[in-house]
Amino acid sequence: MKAFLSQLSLDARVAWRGKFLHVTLGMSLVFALLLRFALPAHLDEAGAQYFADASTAQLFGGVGDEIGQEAIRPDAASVREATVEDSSAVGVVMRGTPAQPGVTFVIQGSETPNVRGLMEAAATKSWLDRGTPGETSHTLRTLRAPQAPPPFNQSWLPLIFGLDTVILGFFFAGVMILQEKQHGTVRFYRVSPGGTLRYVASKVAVLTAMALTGALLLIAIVAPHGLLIFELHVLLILATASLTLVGMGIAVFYSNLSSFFYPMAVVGLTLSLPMIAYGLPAASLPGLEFVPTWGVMFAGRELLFPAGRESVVIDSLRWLGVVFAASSVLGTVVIHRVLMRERA
Amino acid sequence: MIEIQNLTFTYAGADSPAVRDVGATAATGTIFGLLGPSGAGKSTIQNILIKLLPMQQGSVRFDGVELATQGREFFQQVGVSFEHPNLFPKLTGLENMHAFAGLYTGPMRDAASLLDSVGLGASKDKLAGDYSKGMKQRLVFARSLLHDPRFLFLDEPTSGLDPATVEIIIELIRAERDKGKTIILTTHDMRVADALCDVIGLLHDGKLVACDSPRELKLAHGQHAVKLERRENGKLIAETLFPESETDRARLAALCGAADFETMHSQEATLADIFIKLTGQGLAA
Repeated sequence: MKAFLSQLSLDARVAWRGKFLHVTLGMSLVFALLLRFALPAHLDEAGAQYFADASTAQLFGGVGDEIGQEAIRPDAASVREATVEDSSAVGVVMRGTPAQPGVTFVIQGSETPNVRGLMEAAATKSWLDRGTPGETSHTLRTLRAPQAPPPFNQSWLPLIFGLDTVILGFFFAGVMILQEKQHGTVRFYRVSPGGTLRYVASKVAVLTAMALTGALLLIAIVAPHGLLIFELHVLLILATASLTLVGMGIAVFYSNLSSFFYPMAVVGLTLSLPMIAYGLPAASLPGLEFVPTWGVMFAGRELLFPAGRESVVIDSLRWLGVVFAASSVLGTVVIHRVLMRERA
Repeated sequence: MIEIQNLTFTYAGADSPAVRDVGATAATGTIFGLLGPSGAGKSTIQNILIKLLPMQQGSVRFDGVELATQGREFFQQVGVSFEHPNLFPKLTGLENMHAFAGLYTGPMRDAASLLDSVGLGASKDKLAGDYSKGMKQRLVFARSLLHDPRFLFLDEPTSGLDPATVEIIIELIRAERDKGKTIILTTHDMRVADALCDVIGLLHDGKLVACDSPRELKLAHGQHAVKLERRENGKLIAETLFPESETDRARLAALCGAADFETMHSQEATLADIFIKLTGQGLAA
């Protein structure tokens, strides 16, 4: 234990002198100030909508040209499914006949009466534009209990977790390994009694603690209630530790930062992909939920601003647990076989 | 004691072994020098001995215990001073020592005193990244002594040092030897090897071509002769006399009796001469 603590202290000191923590906290502060003071808490914008024409006469074929083809769904069930996935969206299903026109709205529950009134008026007008004489009947299907939408600026926080906290863990892990290769200090570990496990565990602990410190600073400034959410801490620790291990595991195959740039760019880009689904759920790619930052963004949002989708949190924690276990084993084996031995 | 038997090692993709059937013994409390030009196999042997390279063929025993059976605790007994200083540049000299000490269990020598002994006492709080090459070399050397290991591996420990500091390091290495440590010294500097080593193994192309004390090597491979220089009518004349010859012995006695000479040197070979004689190549090759 004493030896592990010494190793931990050494890695922490190297990270401190290398200004890793300064960069982490600096970026957290910049993001926190941006979210807290530059972005408004409320933004008047139309959320995404999903539309299906379930009316007998099929009069709404041209709607896709007005609202975008990506919003069109074949039936009511598809509209509901898409609206469940995207907590900022509403669903509109036209039904009935020209004589007895109707519309069903699938809403999240956080929409204001004003928004609901506008939706009803727009739907009625759509029927009238198509020459229907009858009075349109409106039905509301609320997906969740009524709730206040998350403040606009705070809703960016989970995105920053994915793009800053977790990715920095990956970058710093790689940089630390490459610096040790460059300075030759890896050889110093190779002939010390410590062994691979202590080497890896110490670095993961230091870099994860550093990333978590940055994340806590962000949360404290932007959404302080998040500091008390235990699952959020577990989520961030699992994701950052996993990506730290991945960063270390990849960096051992490279000799310097310039050659590490390419894998860094590929991994960084991959980890950024869930951002698309976060900002524009309709454009989400299949399989994106397996990218570790997806869980950080979506489960992070659910934990900070509950919307009744507990399964996202449970599934994400479970998946990140698997990723952490796999990256621990693979990372340690690769470091042991490649970094802790001389080329024979 | 370190016993090496039939050590052979081939790097992946290489046509021929880097080390071929090497056998030698470094007794406890002695300095064993591995001397040879670059690429002779010195570093490969050292890297096998400190488990940086796997054992392919042969056997190595440390105080009778097979190296292949030793776990990480083996490194508690081993100190290594690498040729290329491997330090944390953003830590001070003293912090580098403490960082190293933290990785070991058991009693440690005083880091500040060790730095003093290698002439780094005044620079101990300076960042290692700002040290000169020689200072880094001394820091790495001091670091290798910190956990008081029984076996010391010193790779070119005097490389880049000024002559005065070389003398200090040589004395420190002798002092460690006198404490009973077994020391493997890897160098291509014949003067350092000559001054320090109790036994020298000359390596060429992965083979141990000779292994003995420097004195025995010189006697075995040198000329048993005396070279004198004297003046005759103002002209410098050199004479080489062989003590085995009765005539030469008489001539030598006459010249010595009359003190009729300016310089007199025995003609034992240098290690470099011996290496050239045995391999046809220089040590600096």
